[in-house]
Amino acid sequence: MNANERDNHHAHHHHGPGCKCGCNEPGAEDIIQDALIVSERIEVPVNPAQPADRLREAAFGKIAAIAEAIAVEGAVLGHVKALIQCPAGKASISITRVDSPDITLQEGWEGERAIEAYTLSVSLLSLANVEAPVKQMLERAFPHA
Amino acid sequence: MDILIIGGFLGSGKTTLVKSLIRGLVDDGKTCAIIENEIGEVGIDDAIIEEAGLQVTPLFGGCVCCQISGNLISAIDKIEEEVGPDWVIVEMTGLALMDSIRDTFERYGKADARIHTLSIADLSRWKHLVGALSMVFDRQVEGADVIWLNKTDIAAPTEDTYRVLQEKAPDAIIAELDEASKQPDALWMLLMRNLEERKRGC
Repeated sequence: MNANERDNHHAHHHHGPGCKCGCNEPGAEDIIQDALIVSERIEVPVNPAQPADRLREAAFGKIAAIAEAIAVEGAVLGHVKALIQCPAGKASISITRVDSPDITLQEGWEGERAIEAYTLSVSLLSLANVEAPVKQMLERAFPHA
Repeated sequence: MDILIIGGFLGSGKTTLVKSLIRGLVDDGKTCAIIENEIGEVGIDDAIIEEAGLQVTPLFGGCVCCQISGNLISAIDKIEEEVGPDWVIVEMTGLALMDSIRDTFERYGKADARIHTLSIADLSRWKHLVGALSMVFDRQVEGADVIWLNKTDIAAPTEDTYRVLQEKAPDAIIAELDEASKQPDALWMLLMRNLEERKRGC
């Protein structure tokens, strides 16, 4: 075996922590394993009662701020979703790019209805900024019962 | 019974497209059952689908290819026995790897099952999909029969987009979505055409 053959020879037993063939580089499964995943359902009291639209805008603004905190060059390398359920109906926000959140209101959403409490479901997954303290951010943004 | 597995990175638009597809499917006189696989314990996607008046069987707890492959195939078997729809549509989590899903079905599913795989590519984050996320993205398109390019209103596909996808999935049929093609009937017909093209290409 000549020098080149020795350099190129990669029998299985040669792989190890220092191996440079790429066998130590993270694969898809490793990246997924390390993902930041936060999934919460929060009961949010509102005192005094406020119109549903105002609550929605405030809540989704806070969710958008959290999305921005984990984004890379304006893109969430994952997905941030939230759903508000309250007597006024359902409203959802989906964020993959910070500059273009997608907000959907259920048909019949009553924006003017006074709301005393709502349920906020949040699902956040990110393959970047995985150490971001998202749970603490949510707790600060939505003090709950 | 045909099984359509829809994958694609997180936030690529799968749920919105599923809603439109099932309306088109029903307009075409077919029946379907939907399985939503969502990471985490709070069901947001199924709440959105249920709003459309459909029953959803949620599968929580992780990526189906990692942890609950058995449950998915059992769920499909149960649906076939109890409901017998024309189509079962499985919306995978945005972290599912299409090549692993295909393997799971080939190994553990029924031999006569007709499986079709559709991957949604989000062009608005193309740079990241082929960059930082390429390890995941590559495996989400490699096993796909059809690849739909979504969010083309934010970022249009280029020749390079097609070149890259054709390298990763040389047998896949690639189609661009726009507002017109995302309407229920048009979307369902597009899927039927693309699957037929794929079948002819085998």
